[in-house]
This record gives sequence, C-alpha cells and structure tokens, in this order.
Amino acid sequence: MGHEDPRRQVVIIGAGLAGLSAAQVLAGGGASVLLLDEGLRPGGQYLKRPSPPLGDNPSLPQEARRKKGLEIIKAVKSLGLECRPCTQVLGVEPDGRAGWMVWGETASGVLAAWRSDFIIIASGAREKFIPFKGWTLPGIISTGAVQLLLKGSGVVPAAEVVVAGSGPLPLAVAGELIKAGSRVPALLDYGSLAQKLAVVKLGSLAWGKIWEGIRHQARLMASGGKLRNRTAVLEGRGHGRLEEIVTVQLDRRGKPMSGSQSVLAADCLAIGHGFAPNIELAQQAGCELEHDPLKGGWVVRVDGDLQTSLPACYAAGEVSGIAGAEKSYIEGRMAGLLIACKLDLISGNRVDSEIADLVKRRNQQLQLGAFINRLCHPPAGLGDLIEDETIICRCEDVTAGEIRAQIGSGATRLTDIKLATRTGMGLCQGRTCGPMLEAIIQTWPDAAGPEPPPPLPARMPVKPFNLSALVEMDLEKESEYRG
Amino acid sequence: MSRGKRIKGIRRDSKVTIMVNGQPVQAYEGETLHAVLIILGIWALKASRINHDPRGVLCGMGVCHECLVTINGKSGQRSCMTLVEDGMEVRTYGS
Amino acid sequence: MNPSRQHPDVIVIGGGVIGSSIAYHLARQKVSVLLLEMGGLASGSSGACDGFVTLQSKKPGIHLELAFASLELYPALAAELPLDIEFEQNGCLVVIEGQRELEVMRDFARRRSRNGIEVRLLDGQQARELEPVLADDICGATFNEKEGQVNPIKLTLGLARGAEQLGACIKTGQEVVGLLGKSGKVLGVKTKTAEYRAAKVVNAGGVLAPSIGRMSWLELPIKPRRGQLLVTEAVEPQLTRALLSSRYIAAKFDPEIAAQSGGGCAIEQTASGNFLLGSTREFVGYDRGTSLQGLKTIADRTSQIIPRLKEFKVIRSFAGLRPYTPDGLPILGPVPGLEGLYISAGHEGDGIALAPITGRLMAQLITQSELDFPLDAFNIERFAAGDSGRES
Repeated sequence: MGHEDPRRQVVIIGAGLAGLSAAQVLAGGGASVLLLDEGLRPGGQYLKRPSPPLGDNPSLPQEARRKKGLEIIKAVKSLGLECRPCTQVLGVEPDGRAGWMVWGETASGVLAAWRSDFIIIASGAREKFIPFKGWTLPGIISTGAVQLLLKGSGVVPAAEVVVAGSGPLPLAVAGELIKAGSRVPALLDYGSLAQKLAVVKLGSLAWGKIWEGIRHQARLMASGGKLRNRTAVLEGRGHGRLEEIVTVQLDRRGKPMSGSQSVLAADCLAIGHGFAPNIELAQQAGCELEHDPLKGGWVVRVDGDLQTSLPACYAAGEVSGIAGAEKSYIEGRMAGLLIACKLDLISGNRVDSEIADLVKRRNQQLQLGAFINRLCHPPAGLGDLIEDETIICRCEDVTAGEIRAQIGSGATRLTDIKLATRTGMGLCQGRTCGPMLEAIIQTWPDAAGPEPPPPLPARMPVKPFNLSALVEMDLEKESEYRG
Repeated sequence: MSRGKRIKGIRRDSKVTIMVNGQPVQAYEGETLHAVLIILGIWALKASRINHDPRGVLCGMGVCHECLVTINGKSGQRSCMTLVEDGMEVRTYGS
Repeated sequence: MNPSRQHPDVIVIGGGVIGSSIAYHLARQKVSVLLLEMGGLASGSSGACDGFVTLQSKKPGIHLELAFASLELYPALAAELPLDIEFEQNGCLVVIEGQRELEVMRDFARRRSRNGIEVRLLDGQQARELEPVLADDICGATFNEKEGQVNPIKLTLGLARGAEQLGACIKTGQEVVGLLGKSGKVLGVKTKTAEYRAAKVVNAGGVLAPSIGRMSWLELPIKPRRGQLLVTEAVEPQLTRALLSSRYIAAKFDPEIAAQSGGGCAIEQTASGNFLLGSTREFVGYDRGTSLQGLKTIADRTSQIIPRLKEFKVIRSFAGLRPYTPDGLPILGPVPGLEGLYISAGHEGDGIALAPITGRLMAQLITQSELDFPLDAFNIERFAAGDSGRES
C-alpha cells in the first residue's frame, strides 16, 4: 500500500452475476464501489467470456439470463465502476470500530488493502465430486471445466467425451459438447429417472429448466449417445492417463449392484456432482454458517435482508445457497438496493415494492435450487463406490483407506482427519476434498448422528499467495506484534 | 489419444507462439494455457506431491491446483488461470 | 467394556501432547488410564505449534535440566511409538541477527557450555556452510547438535495410540464439566453426558487448565499467549536444522527486549517439506485467529534470515495458545487439599520439548515411584499468597 487508498462505501468480493448486479445498483445510485475478482475478466463462472481478442463461441446456448448478465457488465462499465480482476482476496478484518478492511493480492502480485463501510461477499461456488478409484488420471475433467473451456477459450476438450454425474449440469454439458462438435457416446446419471421427473412438481417455475433438459437430451439421442440413469463410475483405468472406465448400476437405495459392472472405453471423462458454496472468506471473517443439504451443504447464514451475522457484511449469490444464476442476480440486486437504502442513496419507499418482488422470486429460486441440490446428494451407497485406494485429498495423496482408518479410530470431525492424515493441508486448502470428506463421514454405517461435522476452519490467507508480497507490503502500524 | 479441438466459427485474430516442452506451438491470443495444452493432447501437467503421479485439469477455475505447470522457469503456475503470451516457455509433467 | 476401564486407576483430562504423554507413560507402567478430550486429539495447542525440541531456548537451571532429560528420551520414544513422529536430531541453530548481539550470544554460548549444554559459536561463514539458505548478512550463530524437531501432531497421536495399545482408553468429544469428590478425596469427573470414577485425576488441560482448576476452587495462574504461525507450500528439502533467532529467545523471557527490538522468529522445514514460520507472542485471550499484521511480522523477520522464503507461497496460517505461567516453569505436582488430584500444565511454548519428561515424571509421581527429578520447583504452591513465582 504505497499510496493512500480512499475508503469506499462498498467493497464487493466476486464479480459474478451476484456481485455485478449489486455493483450496478450501487454504482448507479452514486455509491463509491470497488468490485474485486480473481478471474481474468469480470463475469465469474456463469458469465465466463473469452479474453480479447478471442471472439465469443456462437455454439453456446443463448440463455436469457446470460444475455441479461452480459448487459450488466456493459452497464457497470459505462458507469465507470472500479473493477479489479486478477485480484485474489486473502482476508477480511474489521477496520477499527466500524467497517471493514479487505486485503488481497493484486494483478501485479502486490498486496493491497481496501477499506469500506460495507462488504458484500459474492464469492460463488465450486464443483463437488464423487471420487472413484483412478479418478485422478489425466483426462478426467470436471463438467464445469468443460463449460469454461467452451465459454472461455472456444475449445472442446476432446473429439469424444463421456459425461457422468448428478444434477442438470452433466446433461447440459453433454448437449453443449455435441453442439460444439464433439461426440458424447454416453451420459451416466447417478440419479434415477423418477428423481428427475419429480421436477414437474415445481410447476411453471421449472419449465425453463425442463425445456433445456429436453433439448439437450434430444441432442444426445439424435447423436447416438446413450443416457444411462442410476449409473455410476466405479473406476478409471489407464497408463498415465484415462483409457477406460468401469461403470456400475445403482439400485433404488443408491447402492452399487454386484454383477452390473461394465467397461467403457474413454479417454476423456467429464464429471460433476453439483456445487459447494465458497464460504471460506466469510468463514475467515467470522460469519456464522449453517448447514442445509437443500442449499448445497455449508452456506453463509443470512437473514431476510441478506445480512450475515456480522454488521455491514452481506452475502449474495451461491455463497448463501446453491440455486443458480437467477437467484444470484436477484440477491445481488437485493443486497445492492438494501445497502443503497442504508447509505441514504435511495429512499426505502421507492424500493419497497421491488424488494418485495425480489424476495418472492428469490423464494421460488430457492425451491428450484432445493430440488437440484437434492439430485446431487451423494448416494447412500457412497461407501461402496469408493474403494480404499481412491485418492480423496488430491493435494496430499491421501486415500480413502487412510481416512476410514481415522474414522474407525473415532475421528468424527474433518479437523481430526486433517490433523491425522494431512487431508486438507495442501494448495487447494481443502476445497476439493472437504465436501467429499463430509459425505464419507455422513454415509458412514453408524454415522454419529444427523448433525453434520463442522467444515474445516478457514483462516487467512483464504487463497495461496506469494510470501514476497507480504514482505513488500507497507503496513503503517507494525508494533503490536513485537515479541 | 484425445486432443482438444478449437470450435469453428470463433474469431481468432491474433496468433502467438509459445514453447511447450521445448517445441514451438502456435496459439491464439485470448486462449488460456490449459486450453492450448489440451489441444496438444498434453493432459499430464503436474506430478502429485507424494506419489509423483501425473495430474491434469480438474476444476478449470483455479481452485483445485491440479493444472500446475512451469511457466518461464517458475513452477506451480495454474495453467487454467493464465493467458498464453508470445514467447512463453512452458514445461509440463516429466519435462 | 473391560471392568478396569469403567473404573480406571487414573483419569487424564486433556488429549494434547501432555495428557497423551502422561497416559502413555502410565499405561507403560500397567496403570489403567482413561483419557478424556473435549474435542479431538491434538485439537488445541498441540495441533497449532511448531515442532522444536531445543535446549538453547530454555532457562538455565531446572528448566534447562528438564529439557535436557526430555531430549534424551526422544530417540527411544520415537522408536517405540506406533506412528512415525518425524523426530530428527540435526541440531538447532540460533541465528545472531546483528553485530550488537554477537557479544551477548558469545556469553550465552559460554554460559550454556558451563551448564553442560554444548553450544558452539559459529561465524557467518560457518553458519552458511551448515545451512546455505541463510542470508549473507547473518554474522553468526550458536549451534547445538543434539537439538532437533518433531511433528507435534504425530507425536500427540503417537503417544495416544501408543497408550491405547498398552491398554489405555481414550474418549474424545468428552468435555469435563465437574470434578467428583468427597471428604477431601477426588472420586472422578463428570462430563456433559457421563460420570467416570477414579481415585486419581490429572488436569492436563493446557490453556484450559484454569477452568478445570476452578472445578476444585483452584486458581491456576496460566494464561493463553498466542503464537501465530505461517505455513508455506511444500518445497524441496533445503533447511536441515531447526532455526531460531537470538531475539526470539531473548524476547521469550524479557518483555523489554521484546518491546525494544522485536520478537525474533523461529523457522523449520517439516518432514513434508513445508516451511513453518513463527511466531508472535500476544495476550489476546483465547482468540485463535491470525491477523495480517501478525503474518507480515513473521514474513518480514523470517525472510531476513532466509531470503529465498520470498519465492514460496503461503498456504495457510494458524495460531496456538501457549499456556503461560508467570515464572516460565510448568506447574507439575499434586493439588493441595484434594487427594488424588494432580496438575500438569503451563508449559508455555515448551510443551512439545518437555512432553516426554513430563509424562514420565507425572507417571512416577502418580505411581509413587522414584522421581527422576524433584518436582518441588514446579509445585503449584510456589504461587501461594506473597510469592507469585519469580518473574525473571
């Protein structure tokens, strides 16, 4: 911090749809706003775009939400919004008696700190996985990564891709791959047809998703690809990279059926089982969390006004519950309007009816989200799908067998397993293995109880960063920590 | 062996040349490094920490740290978060 | 359940390194032990510290003698325990940070040698021959080749598992909320969900020992002193020995030095290749958070000693609470007024180094065997009214 950074009214962490829509409201209302994002360009994952001069991918589905989102990006640009991409926020501390200090690693590798009255945590989500023996072989990629390759670099990962997972994303990715010119010989859905058909209970709320699903499925069938429900991947095999997979059928209880294994040649497999909210920054800040399987697991707890348990700290988007792009947009807008009222930039009366409408729409999206998150729940037979040699912590090469030995010896919490096995002590800071650990503990035969184990603690830095940046940082006061 | 493919109909204006494991490779400005490596069929990017097994792209969004390669002599760089630059020197697993 | 487990001979409260060591050493003597831990094993300070097993950081006198005896126990312990505790005995370098301190450290080396601890004074070049990663402007170091480092988590788990293999019973998730006693004798403990009976109870609660102490109206002068630690990514092995800076030792015992010139640092590269960098010394209650200022202070000081640390990524930080006593000595011994109650806590930043000897001595005390050391200097009664221990 060589120069004095002015204190702002709002710092927003995350320039995905939630962060952007909050920024649009606030900057439009005249607030001093800073929008920080770790990506190459604002947009997060849902609004991922190629970096110029690379052009957009015309084969992508033209969703209304995406179009609306891209318009918001244009709008905030023309408002002159301060946006810093390639910036990793590493921690948040209270700033004196009121307000916040957010610090992070900037694009140039320097550490900087920004102070504000309010913060909005809109840090989004990351993909969840159900591991299997050999799932670390190169060639096994996530469904999200495939989508980002299509959106961000205009590339399909292979001429032929097998897709496997739970929830709506694998089907969407299969459809998008086919539209982009790849073959998808098989889509393996861990869920059942009945589970998916239950979506009709949501009525008109789900029509958009249903229609998308039908289109993708039609595309898959037309191309000769097979959709196999209640099918899981048991193993990935190959010499240094994926060459074939072993699939298995699941019974109605989600347990693998013996004798139902079959081998499928594949050198590229896309996998995905829903999303986990990126709660780490909120956790580090001290926000209370809550566990809700219908929101994707551990989420940041917010009240009806999207405030977290900490003063002047809001959370919007997937971070407070996985429910998709529409909810992110709605919550970003809500948070923006509510903070704008607090800052006296707009009067409460003027926005009351919009807020009421947003709240209603938010509840609807939460219902849709609940349905999708239920589809992504790990099957009851998870234990039988994960052989002991399966690597659970990819960063530290810790196997399911080692983890099971700890649970068998009485470890009930993720931190116990972390201390004993080093799971979660690597570069990803427990983001990939955390949700899997939780699922393993919860599907353990005599699992302690319905109470889920607490998540791994998150302290700063919530992302890895270069020690040199810390040394080069110029902090005014330093004396409190002498000896 | 599976290689990625560039989707047709996308505007690719500006060529760059990068070195991958000592070989010159043509790519387009705006592409991320992991996309270019996948197009080359190079899926094995880093060695796992303990067993030194080959690992490649998983999350594609900077979280999992499996796509790490050496760029211009600096190891441990996330290829999915890096844009290709003319003259960039990249080394992957086993190179 | 084995009847002796229903009524163990001894209940140990606290599943950190001290409690686990006591359980292990008792079990070795065929004493039936029940260890009660409120969270998970090593979930407190023992899981949030560095792994130094050093002598140069100890106060001359009984403290140093204790540390020496403890160090001697380490090789055999490492061989016996069912886990690899990653004990290495490559020595410890105390890096001298400035010319001004060279004289002080020369004297320090001389005095230590008189105490029977062989400390060699090295000049800058010799220090860099031992550890090439040291900065060029390091003017010297003191070196003791017997000192070492260990993995504190594996040590704690190893001691606990070792105790179990020898018959001890360990229960985690059991928070002790009260002591049971009658007519001046301890009868057992009460947790949130159960009661356990034993004629002997050991308070090995670390920074939480005071709250257990209060269950018998005992005020223990133990307060938490936070130490923040920074962890880098795992890198190729390049630092063989544990490294302390001279100011780190000085500041531990003399708050004035700490205030004047900063608190020094501690650096080790663990068996897994991560650099563990520390530390701070703060009285902030029971707050186990880390702060930007704390991390920066650690980064600044350690990178002055090993410049190439700047090339590495910081991947996490954590903070441990050292159980601090006014005179820097642990509190070991029987609790007056309640027969059968013992205290073994207050090791400040020396818990890891002193765990083997503490377990051994406490087991000797409890089984009324001959003590390797007289424990008078560590008795709780030294803090009796009028004598709050020597603050030196």
